[in-house]
Amino acid sequence: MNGMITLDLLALAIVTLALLSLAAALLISRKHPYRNLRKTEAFLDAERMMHQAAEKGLRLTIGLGFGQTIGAPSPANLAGLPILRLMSARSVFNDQPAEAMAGGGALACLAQQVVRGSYQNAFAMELFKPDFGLLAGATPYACLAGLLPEVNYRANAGVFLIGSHRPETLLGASLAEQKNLPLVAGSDDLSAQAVFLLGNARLCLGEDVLHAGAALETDASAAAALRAQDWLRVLAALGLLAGAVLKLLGLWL
Amino acid sequence: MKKTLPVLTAAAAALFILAALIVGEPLAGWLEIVLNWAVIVASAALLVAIATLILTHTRNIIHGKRGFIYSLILISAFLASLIGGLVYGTADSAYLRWVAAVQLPLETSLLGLAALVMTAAALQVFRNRGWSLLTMSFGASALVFLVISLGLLQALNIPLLTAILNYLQRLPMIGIRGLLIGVGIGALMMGLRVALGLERPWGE
Repeated sequence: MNGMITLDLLALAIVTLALLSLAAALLISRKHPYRNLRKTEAFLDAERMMHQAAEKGLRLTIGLGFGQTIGAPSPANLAGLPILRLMSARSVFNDQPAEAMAGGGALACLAQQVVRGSYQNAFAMELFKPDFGLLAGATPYACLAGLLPEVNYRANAGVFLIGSHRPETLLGASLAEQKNLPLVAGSDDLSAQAVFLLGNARLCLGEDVLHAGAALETDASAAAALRAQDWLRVLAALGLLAGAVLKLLGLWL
Repeated sequence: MKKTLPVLTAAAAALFILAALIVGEPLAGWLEIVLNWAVIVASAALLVAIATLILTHTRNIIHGKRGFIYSLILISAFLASLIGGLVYGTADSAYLRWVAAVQLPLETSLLGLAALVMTAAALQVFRNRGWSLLTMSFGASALVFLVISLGLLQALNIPLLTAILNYLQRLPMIGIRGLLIGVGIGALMMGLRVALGLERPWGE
């Protein structure tokens, strides 16, 4: 058996394990999906920001990160969509509806579909405008250049930078900080996480950024995925420890 | 049906790609075809997104919205690039030079600005987040790795110091590995939810 086949089998085993964990989590928590669930503080703050924006009649802006220009968005690109869904659902009848900026064609179309869905669900299609979900730019820097004026918008009540953001997005975060706007930030990019830590942003570290639907209690499958993910993390940690012990004992090279 | 069909198509495509990546050779030909379809669909999505952007900025100009001058610049630059590309072709060296002459200075200046802001933010981290274990370890590790990166300590060529430096340089890898394992598992769960049609951010 060559190395490639071993890796393939390992990948298959991990995917099967993840699938079984997800199925088990869905089954166990089907009646009370959000009970005893680990919540990310940043997303709880996000909910407060949405209420405050609605009370003040101001707008919330979300940067969904940079997706591939020609290609499917990565899982982290989808991370901001549950927040966008909740934001737009709560601001359908507001003076200043939520605004989403996406870096990538497919992501921009998905964002628009999310916002459109919120207006459809509220039977208020006459209020929907396509510019509530826009393409920020087709390259990372164009995306950043497109995002900055929206962060700088005078009627902003807060900014979300959730998705595949790069370290340069710190410019947007810094601008929000200068304008005293509350900011919730999270990215799958490690360098971006490090630069967000430098500012005042409410941070979603590591994989927490991927489970907004669970923290905001809007998606039962996200809650089940979060539980399954925690189980897998424990397994991975145990596996790493076992590997280290076996290596120390000289039983595994 | 209108909402179920796209979810089923997405789920079928995702499961096929997963199977093709694991099975390998027998499905390799089909995988290429499906990935080509994905590129075509994504390109169409990009065209739709660009059309929406242009329409929005055109409306801003027509209604004389605040800051419409930027919309005017955006549309002018877009039209110039589009017409240039259509007339000379996107492989034409003069056209590519012209695009690069506009794009590169802008991107470089943004990068320079980002570097300045990052430095300023790094200096203000204690003011922003206060003196905590997190900020102190963040500041200390930044300082330590800045000194190590200078290479002066390695130049001293002291065996014990070199061993300590080698050990220290391996430390960030542990943290990175931990974070990447977490992000990897999270991305896998998200991918599975999309593949199974459970992830529907646009609504039920």
